[in-house]
Amino acid sequence: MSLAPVMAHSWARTSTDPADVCLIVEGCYPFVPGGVSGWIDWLIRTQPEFTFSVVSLWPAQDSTAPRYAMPDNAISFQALYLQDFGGAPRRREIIPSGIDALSKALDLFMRQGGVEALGAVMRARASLSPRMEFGRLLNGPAAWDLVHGMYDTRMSHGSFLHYFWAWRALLGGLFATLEFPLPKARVYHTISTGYAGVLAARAARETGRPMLLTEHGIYTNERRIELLMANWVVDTLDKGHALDDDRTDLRDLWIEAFEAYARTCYEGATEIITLYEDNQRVQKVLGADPARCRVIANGIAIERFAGLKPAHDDARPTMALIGRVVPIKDVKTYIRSANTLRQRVPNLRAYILGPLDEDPGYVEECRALVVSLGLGDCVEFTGAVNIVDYLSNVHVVVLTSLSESQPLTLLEAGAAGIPFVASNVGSCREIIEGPPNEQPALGRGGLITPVVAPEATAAAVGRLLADPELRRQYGETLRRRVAQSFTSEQAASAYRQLYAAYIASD
Amino acid sequence: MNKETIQTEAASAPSGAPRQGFVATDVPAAVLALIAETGLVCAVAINRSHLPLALTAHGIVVLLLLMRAWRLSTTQRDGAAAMLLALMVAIAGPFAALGGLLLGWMSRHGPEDSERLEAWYARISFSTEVSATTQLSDRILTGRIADLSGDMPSSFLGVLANGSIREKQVVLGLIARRFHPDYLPALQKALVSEEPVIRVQAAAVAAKVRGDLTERTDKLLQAAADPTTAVDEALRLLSEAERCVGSGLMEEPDRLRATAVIEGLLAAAADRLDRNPAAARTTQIEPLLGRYEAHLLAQRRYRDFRLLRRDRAWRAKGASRFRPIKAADAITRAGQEPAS
Repeated sequence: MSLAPVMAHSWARTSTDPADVCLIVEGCYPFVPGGVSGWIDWLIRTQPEFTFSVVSLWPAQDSTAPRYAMPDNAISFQALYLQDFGGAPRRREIIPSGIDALSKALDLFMRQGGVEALGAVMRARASLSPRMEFGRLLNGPAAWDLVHGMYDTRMSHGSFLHYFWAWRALLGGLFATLEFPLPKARVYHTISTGYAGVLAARAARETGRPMLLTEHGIYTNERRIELLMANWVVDTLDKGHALDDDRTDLRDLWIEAFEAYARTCYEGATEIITLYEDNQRVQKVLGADPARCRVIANGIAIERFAGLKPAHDDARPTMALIGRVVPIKDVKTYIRSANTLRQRVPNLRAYILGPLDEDPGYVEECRALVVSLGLGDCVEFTGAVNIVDYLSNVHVVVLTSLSESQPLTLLEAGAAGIPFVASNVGSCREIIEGPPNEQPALGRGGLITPVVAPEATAAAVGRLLADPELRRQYGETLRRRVAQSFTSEQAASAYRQLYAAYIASD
Repeated sequence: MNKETIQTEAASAPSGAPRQGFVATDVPAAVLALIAETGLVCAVAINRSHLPLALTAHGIVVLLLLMRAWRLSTTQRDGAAAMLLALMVAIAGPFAALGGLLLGWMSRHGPEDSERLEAWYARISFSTEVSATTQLSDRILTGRIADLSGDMPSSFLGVLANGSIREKQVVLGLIARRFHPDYLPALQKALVSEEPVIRVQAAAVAAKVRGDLTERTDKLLQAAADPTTAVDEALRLLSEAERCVGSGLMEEPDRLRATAVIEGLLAAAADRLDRNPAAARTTQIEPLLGRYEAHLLAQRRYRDFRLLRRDRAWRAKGASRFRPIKAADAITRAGQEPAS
C-alpha cells in the first residue's frame, strides 16, 4: 500500500461521468495514513476494472494534505466539510411556514433514525414555503423556531444554552450531509455509519442504487465510548450515579443521534459487511438486519513476506510492536512489558516500528517512560519504516492495542512466519487461535493476553523467546492460516464479485 | 407552552391590583354641580347684585360635595373622586364640574380592565395561572437536580457482574469522568470482561485513568508534605496511595512517586512516635504503625521491623520494668538484714 505523501492538487480530479462505485469515507482517506485509509487505497487499486469516485467527509477545511496518491481508476474526488456549513449568518429573512413539521421530523430522525424518518425530513424541508435550503435554515432566523421547537420537545428541562450549541454541532453536520450534491454512481459504498452512513443512505434512497457498508470497527460503539468518557460534553443534569434516570441530557442527545444515524445506514444498506464475526453481533444489536450481514476478512499480499527467514535462535532476543505511536495502540503497556521482561532477558531488544508524527505529545510521553525505566538501550523507536527490512530480526511481534478490528500487522507477521502476542481485541483471537469452524484446524499461532496487562504480555513474550521450537511451531501455523484465509486476492475477489453483481443489475 | 393551575394561598392585594368600585369621577355629583354652578354663574351675570347670594350658594354646593365624599368613604366605598370633585368645584365652579365629567368619560372602562380583573379574580380565588416563563424556570430548576424518587444507585461491581452491556458502558463512562481510586476494582473487572465491547471501553478508560492518577499523585505528594496533615487524613492518603499503586494502572514514574508518598507517610508516623511516645498508645496512630510494620515485612526489612516492634513495646509499656515486691517479703527481708 502506498503511503507516500503527495501534493493536494493531485486530488483535484473531477468527472461528471457516473463512477461504478462511489466510496463515502469519514475522517480518514486520503488525509490520514494507515488503518482504514490504507485499506481504502488497497480496495481502489485492487479493482482496476471499476471506476471510483470518492467523497471524503472531513471536519473543516484545513491544510491537511492527502497522504496517498490518487489511484488511476479514481475519476473524481469531493470533500464534504461538516463544520463549514451554512455560510454567513443572515439576520433578515422570511421565516418559512412548515418549520414546525420540519422540527418534528428532525426530532424523530435524531431519536430513532431510519430511512423513512430520513425521507420525512427531506419531505418536510421540501414543503417549506417559501422553499429554503438547509444552510439558510441553519444560519438564518428560522433556526430559532427550529431549535426552539426541538428543545421544547426533547430537553426543555435542561439548559437551553448548552442545548443550542449541541444542536448546532449535530444539525450542522447533518444538514451539510443532507444538502451535499450526490455524485452519480452505480453503487454507493460507505466505510462507516455516522454522517458517511447517512449520506450513503440518502444516496440509496434518492437514486435507488445499491448501497454497501463495510465496517472495520463499529463506529457507533466507538462514538459511544468516546462520548461517555468525554469531559467536553457538559452534564447539565445531576443524575449522580443512577443508571435508571431516563432524563435526556446532552450526552444522551449525542449518543442517540449517532445510534439513529447507524440505524438509518443499516436500514438503507443492501449489504452490511464487516471483517469478523464478533463485530456482526454488535451490528445486529444496533439494528442491522442479520439477513444482509456478511463477513469479508482483510487480506495482505503474502508474496511480499514469503522470502523472509525467521530470526536466528542465537540472534539478540527481539520483540517488535508494529504500528503508529498513538494512545489506542497502548505503546506504554508494551514499554512496561519490555521493562518486566528485561529482568529475565537482559539483552532484550524492543522495536517500535511505526510513524511518530500523528500524536507528538504521546510520543514524548513514551520516550519519557523509556528514560524513566532506564530502557534506553532496549527500546528503539524507528519511525515509519519498511517492516520487511526488520522482520528478519524479530523473534516475536507484539500488539498491545486497546482496540483493533483486524490488524494488518498480525497478518503481515503471520505471512513472515513470526509468532504473535496480541491483546484480546478485535479479531486477534480468531486469527491467532483460529476460528471455531476452521477446516482443517491448524492450532495456535501465538498467544493472547488481556488488555493493559504488561506482566501478562511480558510472560507471553518470555515464553516464546525461551522456547525456539514453540516459536517455530506457532510461526508456521500462523503462516499457513494467513495463506489459507487472509490473502489480498481473496478479499479483492470478494469485493470484485460484489461490485460486479450490483453493477450488472444496473 | 401548556398552562397549568396550581393552588396557592390567598394573597393580599398588590399595589397594582384593580380595585372594585373605582371610578375616575363622581358622575351624578358632577352633573348636579355643573347645573347648580352654571345657574349661579348665569344669575351673577344677569345681575351683579346677586353675587353675595351666589357665593353663599356656591359654598353650600361645595359643602354638599364634601359631605358626599365623606359619606362614601365611611361606607367602605371610594370617596377620592368625590373629594377631588368638591375641591375642584370650590376653585373653578362649573368648569371643574365639566372637567370632572370629561375625565370620567376619558377613563371609562376598556377591555384591558376585564383582563386585569380576570387575573386578579383568579388570584384571589385560591388558584393562579403560572406564566409560561415561570413554568420553564421551574422545570429547569427541578429538572436538573438529582431525582430522589429513583432507585438507589447500584454498585459498580454488581453492574459489571450482572448488568446489561449498556449499563456497563454507562458505569465505565462514570468511572472515566469521575474517577476515584475506589472504582479501581470495578475497572479491573471490566478489563477482563467476557464482552469485547466492555474490554475495549475499559481499556480506553484505563488509559485515561492513568492521567488522572498522575494528578492524584501530585495532590497526594502535596498533602503528604504538609506537616499539619492530621493522622486521620494521613491514613486516608496512605490508603489511597496504596490503592493507586496496587491498581497496576499507574505510569512507572507515578508509581514511584506514590510509593514515595507511602514511605513518607509511614516515616512521618515513625517520627511522630519518636517525638511523642505517648502517641503510640493512642488509637489514631496505631493503624498507621501497624501498616508500617506490614510494609517493613513486605520489604523484608526484618531488622527495622524488630526494632520498631521493640520500640513500640517499650514505649507502650515503659522502657524498664520493676518486678513488684510483695509486702510480706519486704518485711521479712527488712527483719533479716542487719541494720546499717
